[in-house]
Amino acid sequence: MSFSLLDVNNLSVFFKTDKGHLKVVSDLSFNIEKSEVFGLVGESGCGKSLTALSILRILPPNSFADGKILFNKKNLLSLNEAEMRQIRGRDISIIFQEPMTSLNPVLTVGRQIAEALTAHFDISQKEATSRTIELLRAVKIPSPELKIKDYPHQMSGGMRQRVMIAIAIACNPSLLIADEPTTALDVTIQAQILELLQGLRKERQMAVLLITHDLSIISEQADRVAIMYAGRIMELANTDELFSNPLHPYTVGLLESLPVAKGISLKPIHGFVPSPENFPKGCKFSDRCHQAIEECSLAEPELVEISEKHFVRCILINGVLE
Amino acid sequence: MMNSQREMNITDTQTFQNFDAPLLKVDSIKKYFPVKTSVGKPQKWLKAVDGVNFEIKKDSVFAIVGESGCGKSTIARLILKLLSLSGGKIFFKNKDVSNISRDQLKQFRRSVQIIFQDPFASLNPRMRIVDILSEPFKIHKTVPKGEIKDRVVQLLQRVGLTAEALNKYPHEFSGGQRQRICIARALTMLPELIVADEPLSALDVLIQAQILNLLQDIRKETSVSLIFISHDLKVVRYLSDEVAVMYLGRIVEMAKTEDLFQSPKHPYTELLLASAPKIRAVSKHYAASSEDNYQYDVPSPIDIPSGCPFHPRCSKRFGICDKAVPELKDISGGRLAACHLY
Repeated sequence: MSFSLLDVNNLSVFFKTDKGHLKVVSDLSFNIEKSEVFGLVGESGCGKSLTALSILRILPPNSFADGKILFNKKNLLSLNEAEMRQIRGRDISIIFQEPMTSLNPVLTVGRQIAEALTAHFDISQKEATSRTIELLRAVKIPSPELKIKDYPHQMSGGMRQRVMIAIAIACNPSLLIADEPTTALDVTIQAQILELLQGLRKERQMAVLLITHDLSIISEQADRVAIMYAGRIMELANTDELFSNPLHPYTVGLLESLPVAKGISLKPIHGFVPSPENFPKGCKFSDRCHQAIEECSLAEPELVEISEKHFVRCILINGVLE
Repeated sequence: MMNSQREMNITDTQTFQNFDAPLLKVDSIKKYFPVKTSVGKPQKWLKAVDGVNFEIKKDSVFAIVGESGCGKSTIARLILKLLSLSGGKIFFKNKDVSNISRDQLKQFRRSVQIIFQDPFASLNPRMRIVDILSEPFKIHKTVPKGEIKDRVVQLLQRVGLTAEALNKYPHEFSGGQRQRICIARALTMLPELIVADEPLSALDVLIQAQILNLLQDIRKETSVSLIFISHDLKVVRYLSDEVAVMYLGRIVEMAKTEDLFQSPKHPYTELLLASAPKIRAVSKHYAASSEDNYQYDVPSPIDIPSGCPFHPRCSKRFGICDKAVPELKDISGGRLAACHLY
């Protein structure tokens, strides 16, 4: 029986508030196969970053996760902190949007990369240094022997993100979580970083969970995509299938809000994402959906497999209506 | 009411003479910022904008694209006279506005308005929306006091908000709504030119589309001209009539929008277009950045490379490229590019 590298099962994330627990991610289920790029798309506040943080168990203190996250058949949510620390950074690592705030400004980049190595492997300082240089070369930083002595502020945004990637891949993780890795970067640098990530993925057989709000990046980089809205997956499919045959009204709305050519007017979805305490009853998208019918606000639809490996959460598509 | 305001604009005496005159003309403008150096060392300059020329016609959208640090936001601030010029001249409706008096400046600012990137930083958090939007009326006294509130409500409705917003503070609104308020503020004095400096980049994609539609509608209704500064090529192609591509303080290519996107001439424009991710247009294995480009970041504007500033990243460079700075010139049929290839 084969199993996925990562299997997220009914994951929910709650925030503790004065009025009780607020569910911001609701019964999320998806899996990531070995060395695939899985894309998670959605607007800000849809819960995509919280999903990433719960996989690494680094949620903010006022929140907690419920459900199962199986990584190599082990449930990450039931591990103790010491066991989790073994996995974090070694088997699963993460890069964030803003490389400047993720790096320590008072340590050289060489030392920060070496720390990732010495934390997980019993190696000498010399060995760590030579491996650090190798890593900088792997992320295509020119003259790595000199650059290990640089501080983060001496580097540009693109170079810093390369350093972040070097730290993330230092222990050859089998899963890399990239949370908006290029949002802070210029478009030409973005292309370089994405190409670098794809190259490393192939070379190291590493799966990537790519989180972004940019559909065009997903369409070029991901093998499979999940579209998130209001803490739920609304549609999940292979990238080719999703972009050639988008089914959920939200996915269609996202695609139609992108400018294609002059003269073709945009059809953006009206309104804005409600806050979790104001989510509508039934389908969480029903208050903004132009196809919504009465039944939509009665019960929340399930995520149903419409055709092979194409899942949609919408009663109009699911055809469960009598 | 619209007319009475227009009549008070600065250049009325001259508009009659030049119907075809550009609305705004920028003539080799420069902005150098001093860089801190040690005592005894020669003064260094950051050349944010280094000799830029362009013209904007009435009722058109002129886009400026480029990466961070290329000087596009500095140009916005120079046009608004929020920064002083280090050289060159700016003409608004044929009148030199580079050195105008305070009174004239006040008039000028009625005709030219700006929308900033970050709607969180560009609204005063301690002012209610009604105060933010009535302030321009109070300063310029274009509307009798009793009518100001009605006008503010009209403006709010125009940008898709309701009178409920009047007594709220900026923090009570989402990013998209705040950007609508910023647009309403830019519209208060019925400007002839709005400079929009990355107005969409802080917003989610659906909200971007809403704001983009709003800008389009306002353009149709008021025929206000727009300088649209952006790094998002999709939006630029959608919205603009003409584009200037900037690199390290200079324009490297300028053309009608469709021409530029159909057949980019400058290697930097080619790189920009190839780098932009596209939905399904190209396969996953597109070859945007060559190994060559890998080595290079955008150079710092303090140490601009010799010759053509783009030559270290350019795949088509040859002998002369690191020696002589190419001028922006007509390379064929009105297409302007600054490149030794042509």
